[in-house]
Amino acid sequence: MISELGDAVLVLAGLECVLLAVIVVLRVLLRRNQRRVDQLRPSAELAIARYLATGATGAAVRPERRPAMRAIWRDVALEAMADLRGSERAALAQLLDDLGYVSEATVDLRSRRRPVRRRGAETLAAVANQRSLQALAAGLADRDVLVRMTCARALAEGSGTETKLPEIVSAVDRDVYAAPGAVGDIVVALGREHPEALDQLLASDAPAEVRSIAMAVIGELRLERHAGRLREILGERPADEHLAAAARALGMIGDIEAVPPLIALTEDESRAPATRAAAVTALGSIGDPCAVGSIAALVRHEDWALRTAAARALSGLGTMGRLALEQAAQSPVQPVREQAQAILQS
Amino acid sequence: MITFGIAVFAFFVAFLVVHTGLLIAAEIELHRYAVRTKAIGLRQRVRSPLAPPISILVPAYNESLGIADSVRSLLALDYPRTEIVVVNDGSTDDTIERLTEEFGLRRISRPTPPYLKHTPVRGVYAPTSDLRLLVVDKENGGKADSLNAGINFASYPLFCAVDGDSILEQDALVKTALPFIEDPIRTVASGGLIRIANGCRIDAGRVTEARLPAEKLPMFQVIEYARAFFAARTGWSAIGGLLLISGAFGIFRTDMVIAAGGYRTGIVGEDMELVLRLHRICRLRGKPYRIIYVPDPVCWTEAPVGASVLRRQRRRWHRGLIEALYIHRRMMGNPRYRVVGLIALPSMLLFEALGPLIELAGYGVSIAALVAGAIAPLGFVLFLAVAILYGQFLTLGAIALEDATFNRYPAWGDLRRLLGYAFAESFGFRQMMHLWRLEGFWQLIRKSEWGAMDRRGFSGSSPGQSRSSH
Repeated sequence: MISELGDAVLVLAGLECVLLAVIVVLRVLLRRNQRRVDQLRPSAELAIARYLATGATGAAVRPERRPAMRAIWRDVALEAMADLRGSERAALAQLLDDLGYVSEATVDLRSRRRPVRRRGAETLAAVANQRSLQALAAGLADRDVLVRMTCARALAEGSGTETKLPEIVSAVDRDVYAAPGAVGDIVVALGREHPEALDQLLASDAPAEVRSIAMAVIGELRLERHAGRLREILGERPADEHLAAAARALGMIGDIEAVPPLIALTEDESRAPATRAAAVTALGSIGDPCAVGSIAALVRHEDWALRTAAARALSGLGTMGRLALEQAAQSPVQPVREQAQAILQS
Repeated sequence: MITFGIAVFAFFVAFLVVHTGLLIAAEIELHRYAVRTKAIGLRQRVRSPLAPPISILVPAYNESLGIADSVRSLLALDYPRTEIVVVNDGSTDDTIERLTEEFGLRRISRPTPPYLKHTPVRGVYAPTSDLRLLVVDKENGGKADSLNAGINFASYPLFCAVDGDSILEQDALVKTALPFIEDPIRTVASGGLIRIANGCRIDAGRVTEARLPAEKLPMFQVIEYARAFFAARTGWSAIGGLLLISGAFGIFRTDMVIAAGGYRTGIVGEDMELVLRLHRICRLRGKPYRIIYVPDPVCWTEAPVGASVLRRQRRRWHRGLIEALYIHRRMMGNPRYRVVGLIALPSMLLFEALGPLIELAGYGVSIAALVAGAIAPLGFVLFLAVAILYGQFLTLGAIALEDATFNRYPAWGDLRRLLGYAFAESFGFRQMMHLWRLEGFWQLIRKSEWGAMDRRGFSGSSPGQSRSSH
């Protein structure tokens, strides 16, 4: 027993020494790396800033051959591109292409190592010029979901990528459960650059989660062209969460034609109060006074959220809404009275 | 004696297996995190119109001195859509007057939403400007009660609970919200890293230079926090067994917390209890979910400097831990709760709740056996050496993880101090902490009723609520 314990002490002491050595070596390496970055980064930043400020051609910038410097150059350029728009962004993208980064990233995208493929996809997505499109399209079939999503987002953001839309849509459908956040970004990009593609995402055979995301994006971006489809969804009697998402989107768009189906939804007692509250809020945003009657009845509803949504919506429905709110402010029921008074005073 | 020896040996082996596993899981997770955050373009993701807005809840009790700075620094955080909800928990100082003066507040009429119960609201205040700030003035009810009031008044789908005396880094909210942006369906809660602010340079409510504390006790706590956050929580989160998101800094889905009934009042460990309840409810609903610890976002908090305050803190934390475990005892060992029920909760019970008792009893019995001649002196010394060396190995592992990833204390002098305290911790500090935690246990046993805890606001409450898992 004692000899085993002695061995254990020796092993642990040895492991501690190894760990100490690892900590020290790591520190030395990290400090050396940091010193190198500190030394090289300012020159990369200066060169890029000078290039953007003077509008010099790519040929005026000397291509870096040292791998460390090339990596720093790429990082600085990608960081700058995240904040740039329009011609400056395009100029920097062209510079990266001229300096060989697009070719390099295309090769990276075929690497066996996932971090390298991700880095390649990020570079190509940032540049997103005609030369990188082919590689990005190939990236849609990558085995790593982040690489696929990065490539899909870049293609969705790009112009001249209409032929790739079916592939982007199928990537969205396939990966929505693995990476719903990244899919959200792609749908936002599609909504901005190719709003017609959202029709497919709203189709009744699209995954439920994709439909929810598409409806949220349509609302946030106020894409009026999809209002008709959203009204159809209200009529299709889908699950409560889809109804609420469609109602919210129609409210944000301000679609006047949606008022009758939204009124019907507010009156549908088989639906959850939260869904009805979404319809009430949408009616308040659209601002059509013909909804006052239905909403005024809900100011006395037992559900607090629905009651609050109704009181708030009435405040946005002109004189008739205000009159209904003033009536509620005289209610003998204390919570109803307080709620209405608070909205009237705000 | 032989049975006792076998029990101690089994405890030690179980400790070794679980904690080495956690250290390995933490290493893998930290590497994954570094690769992922580098690839995803953080700023771009947060700019998305789909990034969920967040209500930041700040419970405040007698925080007149620092509350204005805290609110100002929270208003300046990097995140597109936030609102700040300060809940004044019946302060007896001029917290409300200070806020009114600083932010031009006026009293508004706002009925109290009925989702969660809390003490009566005395008034609601909002600024005359368009600042997204709401101040709820309520009667004293404690931190959990204040957070429940804050949740009621929160308008957004996510809320972030922050201690009034903590300092968040500029991008802490963005990083902690990332799991919700990446996976809005499954993510239920996420927590960030708490670091000790003692010794740091702080200007206008921001930590401008990270430094180690000059005092001994806060230095030991830096070591404890490193082990708790870098090894334990990262590891537990990686395997889906995270049991605690610090009350000082965590983001939660508002609807889920309301559905769970909010923070439980009348107990000390309301933060851990809520996380356990969320695990329970999500499992029972049968839908996939995630409760995540993000190893990078930093919330700075002040650690106790004096022994008496630290002693009170540790006694309270231990009581909180045992309360939470007792309340959710049916989850313990229950396969329905998978990693949480089968590994995390039993480990928490064995190594955290009962650990101090077992370890101190081990010392006592071993010394008694040594005096009685039942064990050889060399065997005793060697067993003690194994226990101490393994504890130090785990600490060094946590320091190595911190160093290799975020390296917030880059000076060689800082490393020397960290290592020195890591070694010194096993000789006195650790045993003292165990003793204080046992006192907390004893206090709890002496109380006849569960939940009849002191409720005197939370001005002296733990800044980190980060029970160290070592």
